[in-house]
Amino acid sequence: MLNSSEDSYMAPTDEELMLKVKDDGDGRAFELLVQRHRKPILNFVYRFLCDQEVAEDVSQEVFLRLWASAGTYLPIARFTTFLYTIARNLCLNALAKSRNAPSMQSLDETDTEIDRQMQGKTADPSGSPEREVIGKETERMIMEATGKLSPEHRLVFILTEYHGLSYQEVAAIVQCPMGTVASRKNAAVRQLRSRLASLRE
Amino acid sequence: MECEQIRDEMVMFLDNEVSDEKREAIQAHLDSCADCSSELESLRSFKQLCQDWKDISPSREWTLEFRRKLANAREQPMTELEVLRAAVIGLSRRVRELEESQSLFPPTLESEIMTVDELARYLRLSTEQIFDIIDQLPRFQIGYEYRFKRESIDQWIRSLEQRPYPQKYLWGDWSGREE
Repeated sequence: MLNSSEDSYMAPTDEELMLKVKDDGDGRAFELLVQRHRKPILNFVYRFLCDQEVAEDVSQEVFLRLWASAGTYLPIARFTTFLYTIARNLCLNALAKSRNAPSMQSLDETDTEIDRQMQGKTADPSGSPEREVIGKETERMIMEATGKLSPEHRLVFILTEYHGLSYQEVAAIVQCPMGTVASRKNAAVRQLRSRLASLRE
Repeated sequence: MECEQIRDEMVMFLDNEVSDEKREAIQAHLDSCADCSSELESLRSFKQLCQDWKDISPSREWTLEFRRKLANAREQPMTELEVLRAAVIGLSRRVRELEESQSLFPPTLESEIMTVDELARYLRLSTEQIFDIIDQLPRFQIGYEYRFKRESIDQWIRSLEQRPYPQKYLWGDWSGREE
């Protein structure tokens, strides 16, 4: 069976689409880019900010910013580098905003917030009920542990571990040398392993 | 000593971020060192564990909400064409106002429907005075615009003619307000 034209081997690359957006203000090309990347971007923001509701909002902002700053896109950069750089900036803004907010969350409150988040998640239909409970508990603990990493470490960890980006691309996104990416990843993994030690038998 | 260095490179090794040369060297060490090799397995299972933090999906409202925001954002900065167009519309409206006030083009009273300005001229009153007594006039509204049917206005005038008291009463003011 044939796939839709978008999936066929003739499908335009992200870079080609982005150039159409930049040069012609092509709305159709933009829509395709949004379709392809909204889920990964949503998850990137979600894992960084640990808040599903805020992630919806910020992920939409990312694509608004993408549209507005299309003129600054240079075809020498990978599209994902461009997109994740925007996402990273907006994530850091959102983080600063939540820190400056008058109601400083205590650690306990953060925990209940995460609980609330976890309850809202849709159940995985393939897993058995017990597995599901254990899975959610695991998820909660990973979320909590990554939430305690510094923003710099968290960025590197999420981008390499959940988005499969190379150290080189991450270095371009977070604007630091590749060696720094490697050492941040190492440090992040070390911290997470010690925090999550109880989860591993 | 060597183990220490290998362990520092293990994360990179599993992320496929080492050169082929290095990969071979690490692999060779792992084959001969049980400690490091079990450390690698432990790291591998940690990375596996992290994958239990599952992806979420965009909500149903995501696209709709995004479209709304995009439409708003695109409205704000006006292009040069839009700025010029708005200016032309503004100017032509002003020109029409001036033309009317100078009676170069007196409003045609043949029309059965009158605007506030036309009614003012018809009744020889100022627009302001019309608005003062607007509640008493037979009128209808389209949106925010008042319109007057000439026939109804004429009828209203006839009813005034039959009233015994001075017309000034209309403005609820017996003293002064001489036109």
